[in-house]
Order: sequence, then structure tokens, then C-alpha cells
Amino acid sequence: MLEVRNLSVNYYVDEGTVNAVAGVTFNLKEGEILGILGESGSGKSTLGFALLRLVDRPGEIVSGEIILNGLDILLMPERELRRVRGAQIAMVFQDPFTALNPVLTIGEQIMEPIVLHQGVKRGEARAKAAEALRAVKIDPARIDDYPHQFSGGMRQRVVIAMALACRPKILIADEPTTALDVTIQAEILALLREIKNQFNLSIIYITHNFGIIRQLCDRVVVMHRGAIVEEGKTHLVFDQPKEPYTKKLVDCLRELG
Amino acid sequence: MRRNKAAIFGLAIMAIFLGLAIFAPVIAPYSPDEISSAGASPPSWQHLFGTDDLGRDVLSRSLYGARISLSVGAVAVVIALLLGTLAGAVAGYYGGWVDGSIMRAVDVMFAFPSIFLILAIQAMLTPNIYNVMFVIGLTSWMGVARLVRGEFLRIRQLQYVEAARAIGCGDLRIIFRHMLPNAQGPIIVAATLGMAGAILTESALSFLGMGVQPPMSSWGNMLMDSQAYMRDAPWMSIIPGLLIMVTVLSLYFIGEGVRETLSPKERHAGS
Repeated sequence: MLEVRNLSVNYYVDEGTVNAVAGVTFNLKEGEILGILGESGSGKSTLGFALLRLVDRPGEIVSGEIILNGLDILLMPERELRRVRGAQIAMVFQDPFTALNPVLTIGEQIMEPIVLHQGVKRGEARAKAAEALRAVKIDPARIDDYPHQFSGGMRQRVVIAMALACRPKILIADEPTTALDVTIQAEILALLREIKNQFNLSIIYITHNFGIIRQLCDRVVVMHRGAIVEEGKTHLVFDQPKEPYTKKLVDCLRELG
Repeated sequence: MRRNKAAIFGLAIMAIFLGLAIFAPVIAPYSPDEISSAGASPPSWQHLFGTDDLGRDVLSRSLYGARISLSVGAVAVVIALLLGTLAGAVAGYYGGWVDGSIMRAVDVMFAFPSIFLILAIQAMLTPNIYNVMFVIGLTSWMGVARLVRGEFLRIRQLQYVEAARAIGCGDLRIIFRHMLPNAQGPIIVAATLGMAGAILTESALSFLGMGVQPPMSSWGNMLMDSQAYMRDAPWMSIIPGLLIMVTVLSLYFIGEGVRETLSPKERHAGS
């Protein structure tokens, strides 16, 4: 479904070059939830952004291929790339408090990708936005409300609705529950599982939380210092970690209970 | 709260002045160019603000002058806002060498003593009010550019900008739909302060004879006309001087008020 080969991202900072993602290769299979596990600074978020070529200065994607439907995202002209963003691959962000634009209603924000990609009339886009809200269990009557009128968990649902609006095939979720309470976390995870089935999605779930990976993901890729150190079915990696780094992570989780 | 009272006062004054300017032909007791007394006469019931050296009614000239002064201020500030916002937005959004070159251009413009630049341009062009508007606008956009650039640098870090890119928005859409509306507060403040500045510049230009040309009246050239009669007919200079001062002060009050309502931090610290 999505094949990543030998992807490298560098950051050019005053102190020199940081190799944030160092030759990463993996693939995402249709209908699976793939976890990308790593501690802060392991390059996992940069990897997520790089998949949609969203890496900003001072970072730069220096090499690799990201193959979607036989086409390399890294070689696409800007116009074509914009047709992938939001339409085929969508993204859910870490911080629901800043991921929504405070001056636009949630309806306007969910309608935006629909209008951009499907060229439909506003009325139709609004109906689709209401449908997306229903899918994330928000009352469509609230379509004209502003982000500040929602709680953190509700906002994250709005962000997910925005991502789902164009029925993408792939969803990249970058720590979508880190900023939320544990109970809300569980709700969002349940929602992700549900929409995955409902919309036939494949999900890349980026987190530092092994517990969430265990609950949610079919397969896991463990990242450390920009490189993949271990990869496999979640329960196998968890029960019989091969690499010392993964073992340490698993031990930590066991100690915490 | 105390400051907001000042803002409301400023707003009221500006509303009154605007109304007076718009309805000048209805309100003005005389035509602004009509010679209605022999020489300068002090304020009286016939001429509330007196008459000038040529015998023209100062009240009527002030009312018509308000039209000129306020519209020069407004148009100049709109030009400055358009230019400054565009330059600042592009610089702040793209960063890198684009930012570098735009901001260096701003520095150069700032380094230039703008009143001399304006005088030089005005000396080359025919000094009419349209040129005055453009010249003031073209020489006062740099502050807005710096401000908007700063706002854009801040807003660009926020996730909703990343989110907009992730759903496939192009640069223009991100700049104008997602970022600009979130920068509007400081821009409004800059607009009120900028308008005050533009009115002052217009007065200075007209005072130097390079702005609004007689017989058309503006507060600035009324002041210029009064120079020679400061001792014999003080009302000729006091009236337009007061009008300029009150207008500029009102605009500052409005700007301060907007600034304060927009920044919760200051509101806590200030009270």
C-alpha cells in the first residue's frame, strides 16, 4: 500500500548536520495499523511528516523513495503532491489545542479538504462535513461552532473528522492522544479502531507509548536514533524482543506495570 | 477598564468628526472659499471660529479640511497596510533569502529620513492630494511589514498551519485564509496608529507647502496660512491645531484600547 525505502532526513543546524531519519525502510500493508515506536528525538515524528513531504527548513529529505500506488511521493511536482495530501494520505496531529484554526468554524475546516479535492458545491461539502462529524460521534448540529467551544478530546475528534473528510486510504496519526487525559485517550483509540474498519483505512500510528502500540497496532517498527532497530508483529516484538534496545523498552513497561 | 474608557472616547470623537466631514456641505454655514468678512475677524456669532486673513469662515474651512485630512489619512494608511501586510506576510511565511531581502529593503527604507524622501518625491510630482496619499502610503508601510512578519513567524509554528498543508492547501490559501485572519489584531492596532501618523505627515507636508494645495483646505495648510497672523489672529492657528491634536489623540486611544483587549497578559499586569 505504502512503501518506504531508504528514507533519510537531515536537519541542518548551527552545530552541524543531524541525521534525524537515517535510511529507514518499511511498508504499510492494506488495512493494518502499523505502530512506529520511539522515544523523543528518535526521529519518529520527522518520519511521519516526511511521508507527506512536510519537512520544513532547517530539515530536508535527502534520499529515499516513498511509493504510493506505484508513484514516488518524493518525485511528485508540488501540484500532484497537494492532491495526495488530505485526499489519499491524511494526518492527525499531536496537539488538538493548536491543530485547529481559532478563527474558522469547525465546519469550515472540515469542508476545506472536501472543497479543495472534490470540487463540490458548498452545500454538498457541508453535508459531507456533517457526515464526517457523525462518524467521529460529534453532533452535526455543532458544525458552526468554533474550536474554543470544544474540549481537548472533542477537538481531537474534529481533527480526525477533518482527516477523514475526503475518505483517504491512509491515515498518519502523530501522537494523537499524548496531550489528552487517559480516559479520553481510550475513547480516541476506540474511535480510531472503529473508523479504521468503517472507512477501510490503513493507519500509521506514531507514539512513544508501548502500551498504546500493544492495544492498537498489528505490527510495530521500533526506531532509535533515526534508524529502525526492530520490526515485526506487535505481540512477537513485545514477547520476544530481539534487540537490546527493544528489550529495555519492554522491561520499562513491565516495571511500570 | 480605565484605558478602554479612553478608547470609547476616541471612538466617539472619531465618529463625530467623520459625521461632520461627511455632512460638511450641510453643516458648514459658509462655502469654504467664500469671503464673508473683511479680513480676519475673531470668533463671533456669525463666525463661531472666526475668519482667516482673507475673510473666509474658519469653521467651514475646518469642516471641509476634515474631509481632506481624514481621507488622506485613511487612504494613505490603507496603502501602507496593503504593502506592509503583503511584504511582511511573504517574508514571514517563506523565510530564508526572501525574508532576508524584504527585511533589508525595510531597513533601508527606515534608514531614509522619510520626510525628505516625501518632499523630494512631492517636488518631482505635481503636489495634489492623490499624490500626497500615495507618497505617504509608500513611505510608511515598513512598520506594518515588520509587525506582520513577526506575527507570521509566530503563527507559522502553530499546528493548524501544518494541518492546512497536510490537507493539500497551497501557499496563497495558507497565507490569506489561515494565517492572515489570525494576525488581524496587531494589524488593526497598526492601522489606527498609522492613520494618526499619516494625518500628522499630511499636516506637516501641507504646512511646508508640499501637500494639499490652496484654495483647497486641509488642517495642515490652514495652519500654514495662519503662520503670519499667529499674534493678531490666534484662532486661525489654534482651531486647526486643536483638531489635529484631538484626532491624533483619539486614534491613539483607539489603538491602545484595541491592543489592550487583544493581549490578556497586559490586561492582568496593567490593572
